[in-house]
Amino acid sequence: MLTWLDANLVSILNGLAIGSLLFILAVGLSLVFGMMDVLNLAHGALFLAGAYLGHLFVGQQAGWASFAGALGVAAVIGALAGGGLSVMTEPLAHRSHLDQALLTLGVALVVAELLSIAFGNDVQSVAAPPGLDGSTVVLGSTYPVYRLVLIGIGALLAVAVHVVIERTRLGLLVRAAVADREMVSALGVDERRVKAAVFGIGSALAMVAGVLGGPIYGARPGLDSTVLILALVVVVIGGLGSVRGALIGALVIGQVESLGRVLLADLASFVLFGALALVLVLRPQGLFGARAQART
Amino acid sequence: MSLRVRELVAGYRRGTVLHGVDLDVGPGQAVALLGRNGAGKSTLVMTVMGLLRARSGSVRVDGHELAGARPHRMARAGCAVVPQGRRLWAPLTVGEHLELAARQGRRRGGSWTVERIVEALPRLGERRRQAAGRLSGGEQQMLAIARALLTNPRLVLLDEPSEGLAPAVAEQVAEVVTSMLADGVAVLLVEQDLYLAFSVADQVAVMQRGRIVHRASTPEFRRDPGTAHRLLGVS
Repeated sequence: MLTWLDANLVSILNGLAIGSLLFILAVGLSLVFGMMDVLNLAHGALFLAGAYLGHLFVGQQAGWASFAGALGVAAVIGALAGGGLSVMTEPLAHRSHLDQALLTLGVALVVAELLSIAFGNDVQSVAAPPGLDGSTVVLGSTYPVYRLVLIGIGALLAVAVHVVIERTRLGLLVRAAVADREMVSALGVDERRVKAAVFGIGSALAMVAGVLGGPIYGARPGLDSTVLILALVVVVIGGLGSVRGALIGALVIGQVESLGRVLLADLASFVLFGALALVLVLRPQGLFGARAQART
Repeated sequence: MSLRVRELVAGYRRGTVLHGVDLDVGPGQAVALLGRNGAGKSTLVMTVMGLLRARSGSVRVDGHELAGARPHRMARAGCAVVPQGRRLWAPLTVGEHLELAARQGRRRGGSWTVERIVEALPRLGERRRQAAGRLSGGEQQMLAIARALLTNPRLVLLDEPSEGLAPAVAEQVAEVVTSMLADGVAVLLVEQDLYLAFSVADQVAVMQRGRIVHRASTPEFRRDPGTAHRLLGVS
């Protein structure tokens, strides 16, 4: 057991780091979908925009100020973009998921194309802040410091989101809206405002995740759809509108993507969707589906 | 407050359900809305509350035109709904339901507070920490009514509050509705249980195929079993 752990420690840590990033990305997607029934396929494009933003601010010359600046600007632009998407999807509120998906997919394609025109088709790298760009020894294995920090940030954000959802007035409103948003508006709450707020926070988190992921994944065309698919799998596995589900789903998919690919090298391209299919067969509503029943 | 509905047309994608409804509920009045299944009673409730978009016609609250307004505007105008099937937030606790509703009610001001609700419905106080989805049917109905009352409405739309309840529990629901009326709250009550409807309402309106086809005071309606039989298929 110990030797197994020793041999796979790096993979497990990598899985945790991917899981952290995926949680930050997926929690917004899950809440917006679970609560407002809007499938935001532009979520991956927001992540990529964040990654390019990090590249623009940080580039090769790493610096704490530029990295923090990128995070701050990403949060602001993300929140604004989320508010914009919230307004854009409003006229489609009573239409099918497919119509909304087509709209947000269109936005995603336009954003991705604009980014590729602006930054080209090469992989742009983003340096980690000084002091975090080296490696350290964890239980005998050498491991990049930045990834450990990312695991920590993911854990902190998970706690923060949990506290907001479970302990605050906004969180109570969000949980009620996930369960039945029409009844929330029938109390006198303007649901468009709640939607815009949640959309804004979720989109800000997606762009922040893009900046945070920069030192690992860099920024390149196609990254948007890769992370979008991962985030969608996380949401489906975890269950719509559930923060706990997004966390567990992200950790599972992180390990599937890292440890799973190592242990089942022959099936590497299959394990992700294998895991998805397994959950869908055994628990179609996801591990922690927060919605009482599907609305028609 | 007064509700005045005129020539209201609404429906779903599959077809029109309300074909021009005229209905009045006066201040502090209780009107029972009767009719067979599929007559459009629930559709009317949902459309008045703004949960279903009106295609045409007028919904006036105290003279203000609110047809097609979103539900939160109806709520702010003083309307509350206890919908069919209760539609509680199943994972949330009883206490959280009360808190969320009271938060809206405090903004508007009025006499219903969480303390008063818990006094009137002690079972809800005992189950404060329980998830709404795990309550019994009667407790769920009480919670749905409590949620509506805590917004301090002046008109409550009740859609089949006795559905699926044991007679003794249905009687408790009737008591709560009566105490609402004593408070000066107007009520539009959709009800299959005629005994309950008659015990609460002072006016009766009968719906048929998306229109109001008969109106009478409750005593009048009860003296006229032929009409009741013709319209409702009961004696």
